[in-house]
Amino acid sequence: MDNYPHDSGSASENLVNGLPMPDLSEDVLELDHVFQALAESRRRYLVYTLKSKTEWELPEIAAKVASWEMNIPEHEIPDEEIELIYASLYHTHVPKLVDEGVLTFDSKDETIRPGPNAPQVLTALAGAGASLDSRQEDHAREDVNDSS
Amino acid sequence: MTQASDDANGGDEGHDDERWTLVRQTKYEEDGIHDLTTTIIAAIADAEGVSPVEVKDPVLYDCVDVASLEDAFFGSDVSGQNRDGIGTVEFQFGDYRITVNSNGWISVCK
Repeated sequence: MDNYPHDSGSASENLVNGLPMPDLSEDVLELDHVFQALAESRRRYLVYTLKSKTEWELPEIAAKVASWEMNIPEHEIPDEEIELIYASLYHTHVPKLVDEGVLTFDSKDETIRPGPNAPQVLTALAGAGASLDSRQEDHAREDVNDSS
Repeated sequence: MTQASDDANGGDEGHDDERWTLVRQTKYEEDGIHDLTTTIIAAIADAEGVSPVEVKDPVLYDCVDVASLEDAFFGSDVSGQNRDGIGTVEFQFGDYRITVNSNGWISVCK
């Protein structure tokens, strides 16, 4: 299943405006839609949380996302805010990431776990974070590093 | 069963044979902290008289990709400018008919 071919054809011969194009192996291109899904900051937070722990209950993750976004400690966040973020995760962001194979979601106990594409995505995010919406992103990374 | 709805806000479109009654109207704020999904679910929860976490079935993502819709109407283009697109998207969510206008107004009809 994970048997990706590693020959990348003749890409190294390609020139764009006189500059050589980097080799793009097929498996990277196949993940293109996955990275598009990660253009949304809440979805990236969901993925970051998987770094510190691989099993999360949705309400727990909603509180964490709320804390990152509002930049205040979890215990200071009003319950209504957590409920609203929970709704956003439950109805849009989690199912989207499940669709992209980044997460799995067990609807019985509302638990999130890494999906088959999670390792590649985490690796890519580890390098890309600095250029994304910096303040929240840094916050999320620090938090994840602290708790590990 | 369904009562006619010729009251103030409804009844002007007649888009199909079914009759829909407007039960909630809310506005999505582009620079607010809540995304479009949250705004829609909060309105439905309000209409049902429950907490947003109790609105579980159906899953909105199974009805429409709201994040894409949010991006299409309210997201910025590559240069960071708002698109100022004009339009309306309507979809079914369980017993409800949801209409999202590009001016941010959302109608929840039953």
